Amino acid sequence: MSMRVNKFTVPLIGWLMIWASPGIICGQIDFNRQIRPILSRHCSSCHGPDEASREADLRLDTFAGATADLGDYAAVVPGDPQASELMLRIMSDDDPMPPEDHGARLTKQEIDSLRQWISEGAAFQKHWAFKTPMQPAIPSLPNQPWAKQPIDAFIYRELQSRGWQPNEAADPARLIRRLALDLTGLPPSREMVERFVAQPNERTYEALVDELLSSPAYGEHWASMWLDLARYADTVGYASDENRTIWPWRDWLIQSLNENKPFDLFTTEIIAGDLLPDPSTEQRLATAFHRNTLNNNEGGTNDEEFRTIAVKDRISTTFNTWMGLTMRCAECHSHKYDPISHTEYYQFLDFFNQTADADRPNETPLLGLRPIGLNAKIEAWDEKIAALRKQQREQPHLWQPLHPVAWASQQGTTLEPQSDLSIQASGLNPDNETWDLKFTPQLDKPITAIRIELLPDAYHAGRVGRGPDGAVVLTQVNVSTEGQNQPLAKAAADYSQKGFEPVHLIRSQIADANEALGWAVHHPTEGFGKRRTAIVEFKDPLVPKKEREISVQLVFNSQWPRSNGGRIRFSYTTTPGAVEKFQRDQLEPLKQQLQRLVKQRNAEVKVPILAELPEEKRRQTHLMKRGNFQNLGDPVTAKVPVSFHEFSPDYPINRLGLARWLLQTDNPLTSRVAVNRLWSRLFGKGLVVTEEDFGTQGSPPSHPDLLDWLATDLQSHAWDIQRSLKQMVMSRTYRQASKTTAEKLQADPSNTYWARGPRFRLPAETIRDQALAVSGLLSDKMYGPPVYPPNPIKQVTNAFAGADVWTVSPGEDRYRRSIYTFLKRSQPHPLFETFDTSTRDVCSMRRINTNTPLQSFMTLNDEAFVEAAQALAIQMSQADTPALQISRGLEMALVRAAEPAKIPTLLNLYQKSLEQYTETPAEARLMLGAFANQHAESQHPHLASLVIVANVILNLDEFLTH
Amino acid sequence: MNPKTELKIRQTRLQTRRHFLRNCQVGLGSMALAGLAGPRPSFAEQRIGNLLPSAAKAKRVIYLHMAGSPSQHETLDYKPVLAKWHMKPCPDELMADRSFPFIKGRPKLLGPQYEFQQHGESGAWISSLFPKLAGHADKLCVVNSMFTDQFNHAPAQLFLHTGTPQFGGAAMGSWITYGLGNENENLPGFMVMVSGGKLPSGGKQLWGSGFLPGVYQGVQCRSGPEPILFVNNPPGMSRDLRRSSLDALNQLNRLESQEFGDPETATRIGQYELAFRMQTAVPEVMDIKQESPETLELYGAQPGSGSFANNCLLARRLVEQGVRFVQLFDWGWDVHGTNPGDDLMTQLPKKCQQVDQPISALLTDLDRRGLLEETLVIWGGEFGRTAMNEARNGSKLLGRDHHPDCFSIWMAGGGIKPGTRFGETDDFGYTITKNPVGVRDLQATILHLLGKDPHQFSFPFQGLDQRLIGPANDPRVIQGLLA
Repeated sequence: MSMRVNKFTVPLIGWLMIWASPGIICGQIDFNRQIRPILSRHCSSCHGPDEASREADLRLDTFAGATADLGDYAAVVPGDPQASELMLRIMSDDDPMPPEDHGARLTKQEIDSLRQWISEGAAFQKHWAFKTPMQPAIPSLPNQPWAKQPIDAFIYRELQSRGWQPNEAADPARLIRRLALDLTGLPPSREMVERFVAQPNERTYEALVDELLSSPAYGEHWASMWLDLARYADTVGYASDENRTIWPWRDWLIQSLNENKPFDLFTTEIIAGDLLPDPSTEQRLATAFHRNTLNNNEGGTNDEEFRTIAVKDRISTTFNTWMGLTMRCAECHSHKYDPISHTEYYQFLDFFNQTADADRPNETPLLGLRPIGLNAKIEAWDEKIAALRKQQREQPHLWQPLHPVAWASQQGTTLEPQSDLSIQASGLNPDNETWDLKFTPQLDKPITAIRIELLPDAYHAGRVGRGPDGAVVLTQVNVSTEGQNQPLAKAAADYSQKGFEPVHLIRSQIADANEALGWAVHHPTEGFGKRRTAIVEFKDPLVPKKEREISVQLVFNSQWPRSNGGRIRFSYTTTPGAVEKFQRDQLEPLKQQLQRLVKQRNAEVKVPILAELPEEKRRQTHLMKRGNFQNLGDPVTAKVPVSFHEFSPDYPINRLGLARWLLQTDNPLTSRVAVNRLWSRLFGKGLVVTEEDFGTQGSPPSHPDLLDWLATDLQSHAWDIQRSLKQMVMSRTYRQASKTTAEKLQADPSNTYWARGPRFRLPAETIRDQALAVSGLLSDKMYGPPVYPPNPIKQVTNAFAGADVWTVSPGEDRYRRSIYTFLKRSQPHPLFETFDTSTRDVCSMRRINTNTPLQSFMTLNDEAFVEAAQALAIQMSQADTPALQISRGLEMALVRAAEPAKIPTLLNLYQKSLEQYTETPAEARLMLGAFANQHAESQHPHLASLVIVANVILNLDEFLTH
Repeated sequence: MNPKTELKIRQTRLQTRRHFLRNCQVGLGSMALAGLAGPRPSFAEQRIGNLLPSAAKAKRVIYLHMAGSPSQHETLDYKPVLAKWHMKPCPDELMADRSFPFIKGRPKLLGPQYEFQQHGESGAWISSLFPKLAGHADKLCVVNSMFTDQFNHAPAQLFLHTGTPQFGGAAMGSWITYGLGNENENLPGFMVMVSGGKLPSGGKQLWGSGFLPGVYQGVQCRSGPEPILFVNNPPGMSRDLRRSSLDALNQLNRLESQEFGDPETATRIGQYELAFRMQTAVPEVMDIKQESPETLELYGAQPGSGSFANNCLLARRLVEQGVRFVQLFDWGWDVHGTNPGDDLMTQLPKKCQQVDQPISALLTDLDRRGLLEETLVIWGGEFGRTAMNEARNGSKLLGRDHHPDCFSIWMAGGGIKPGTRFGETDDFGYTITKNPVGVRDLQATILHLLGKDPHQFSFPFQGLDQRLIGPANDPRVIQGLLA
């Protein structure tokens, strides 16, 4: 693939034959537009900035390199194409450039362009995106009422130069639907649409824009874009993919977007909130952005290896998100296309290499905080706490502690009683173990049951057991008095794994050790980190006797070796029917209930954040040869690449200084990348289509002046994001109808010049949220831990991490906006992957929309969408006749009056369905799902037929399109 | 190679590439030029004509991945000398500069735990754990000299299947359907089945399309009544009503298409129709009850179970229908010896017994149907196992730790040299002594067998021409494996 050294230095023969009819290109050559793409595509990988892979010592991306003396000739001789070796070689058949195995030959037009460029002096220009944007003059089009706003003036100028005309404005109802979906991810209310239909003027439109921008749904919608950039998920990734508590950062994000936090402050808090003077909790929380990197907790992994991967990911993400450049190639060698050298990559890495996190399983450093949205609950809790305290004063204790008087293990575990009367295990941890304990309680009433509490303990890494990850499997409990076994009749526990219920504890004899299931307590979200309680009830209560000794034996004899107990406490009760009461939740001591409530009230959630290492612990960063963390080269210190704007000496040399550097007014990229991203979300693609690559390999902007105008405008208006968005949606460009014709399609297939309005499929989250919204199911509850809506994948089993069961959230949590859906990296909810959401493993700048039958399956058949169709059908049924009901369904879904042309088709479908369901009422009942019981059986065929219609409505192309 | 041959090869390559750029509707050419702004790649467009270059020896792949990694010493790499060292302290030279995930201190060597015999005319050494597979010895090419650079499961599996140990790469099956298209317009080109009760460590990223368009991601088939997510109509909706409702939907979407003229609408109509066809095609191909009792017995398959045996039979049914890449993962091969569930004496024979008959049946069945010639079958794990006993925390059970330096796989069918052994390791099955084959070499060889030049086959992403074989040029097509 590379040009051989000898090729360029060998003199050529026969070059005189090649000068055939040079084409003439009119006008001056524009280096960036016409020449750079040719050099970049055909030449740069061997004759570009990367010194290691440079061939023949020739560099064609700079004037000095291209014109360097190569003996008695030069690749480029300004003003003289015939003397330029470059021209010879690109036309040579004998010894062509690029070499045959590198890529295609240059086209005639490319050759002509190069020839003219050399004739005109072979001037080089900086790549457009590396030049600081200057506010361009707004095209003056005084006679064009369409082009009054700056955005429209830029767009119109281009259209005019092509002799094209923009579309008329979109139909008012469709426009408001588009606007609401784009700004909030939800359809507009009927009232909003009606307001604008009644008065489709500028003022009403602007008021609606303001209303939508200030709706809380705005932040929930735009947060999705930032979650893609932040590679946000609720688990840590890799093989074990444990849960991670980082949702408070998602809530911080939603809140910041809703506050319309200026983009410079937002950026600074994300990158270096912890380094701001006297940072607030929120500012420190903001840095969790960069703690969304993956953690590898698989046994035996090298933490330093995965810490390094995380740090590299942080610089990729930072460069990509703010500057639209890819840095990854410079990890192993100097960038082949953009001016970032191998060394500069590691200098830049040093900025991020000084944080305290280190791929530890416990994810330290963590920030404890009160999540947003708790305040309302506090009052209710306080009331409940007061009530319980009162009750506690009036009610005697239900459980009495059992004081251990003797303790021994059979296999050598050290057992020791603790001040809270629990028994702590330490030392040896054999494969299986049995504890023998004795107690001498002072009794006045018969004992009915014994309680066993598994307590999480710091000694066992905060877990309840001593097995892998803190597992414990208690296989048997035996109780005896004076050597006589006391049969146990019932058992219950506050939590147990499926198949490992406490009833196994009291099976009198266990035949086969492999069958010893026992009571096990792994919890899908809490793991082994929570106190668990089991109680065993005697067949016959133990009658009190003075100085009576009770022996309790705990057997840990499962097939999972070393899954022995950690710290365990025992107590007894004299209340009759203990197990039954326990199961009804009446036996939890008030003290514990109180403790739990008080804890909830004062709960802190712990979130991984960035924290700078103290001076004495700073890491020495090295260049890594070929990117290998074990193959270190020279030491380096924090610097930004020299080709970019200067890092002010006034800045601290740390992440805070880096954030300032990113936001400096002469940074050519940050503001362009930011406005391009907003444009893309509203218009379906960016002015620079390759949102993720503004470098020399990316696509050039379709409207460079418009991009620069938007970029400088954002900077000069205090980085006000909503102001930029408002300008965009207020433009006539945005408000055009999206209709197209065969001619327009042919002239501009991808709508580069905006002679028609944008039209694209809704993003994954909006697809589901909209269906829930129009059917009246959507909950508007904001914030909080992730939720579990229905998911066909009920169980996720990761290697080494046990099973996670997807338990559908009860109540309104089933219908929350999709941004709150629990996102497991190794097994995301199918909605996300089906509708092109990034895998959230690395920063993703845009989603590439696909159109597949798997999507059709989802919106046709998935439980959530069928439920939405059922709910919509019930609402439709409130209209009078089937035709009106169908019309109502269309109105609710598309938020505008139904076109009469659509009714007959759906009415026909309704009638066909009704015929079938009248014959098969049982099928009708099934089709109505949970709604069947709320309606008379005689209504089932009718309602089920409406569900069929609603299912079609929720799959209409226009419903799935913005 | 003389200059003339070299020139010839270069020209062929160039032609292949031009052919690719010109004919591949969703290929690199159109993607790069249209900046992905044109019509979106769709499922049906996976069927992009016959992109199989004439050089292709294999048309389809069945990859049998034993997740967790079986030990080479107990399966395919016969080490009589190691037996003599059984339970002797490990020599220093084996420990120098090494670290292991779990072995601590100075371990003891562990002799092979099962008998080996030579089989077939080729005299391949296969252990007694694979009695039925041994009957196919002359079809196999056993590679004893595989190596990788990852020694944890997830990164090693990702490296093998996506070309990068980190998340975010594109799966081999995605690459291959992207490059070669699909032969069946009613089924996805890349299908995945999992057995053994757990997902492999690398998770779904092992069949993710990464930076390639989402349409190329592997589609996971499940046992049970819903083989592909949401393929079934909701309860209470008959196929007849589904047809009627799609007719109504298409009619309304055509109105929309007439009014707005968006080509995406037409594509969407097509996708709903394809979905309807898939509703028949998928359950049909997944329904192994259609097989003769003799065939079911041959595999040991039982309709309704999610066993590896069923998956092997399904793999044959899928390739028979033209599915390009069938990926099987079977969990439970991580034989550390910490408990009976992961040791060499209980778990390993159990796992081998579970797969021996189905794999043997698959080879027989492909062969008798004339499919083996064009179907590349690959069997193996993600890395090897140590020559030493792990004895984690003093465990009495026998087991081996992870070992990236050498492992054994076998290949058969499509363009593979049958009845051969390639590569050798030292007396301990610890270090490669001859013909090393890296994971990237294996990937290059697989692509080559399918007629793709592994060095040219790329996709632009993040400023790089991404390739399955990675950015460096060292990976080679291993000629010694080719027929």
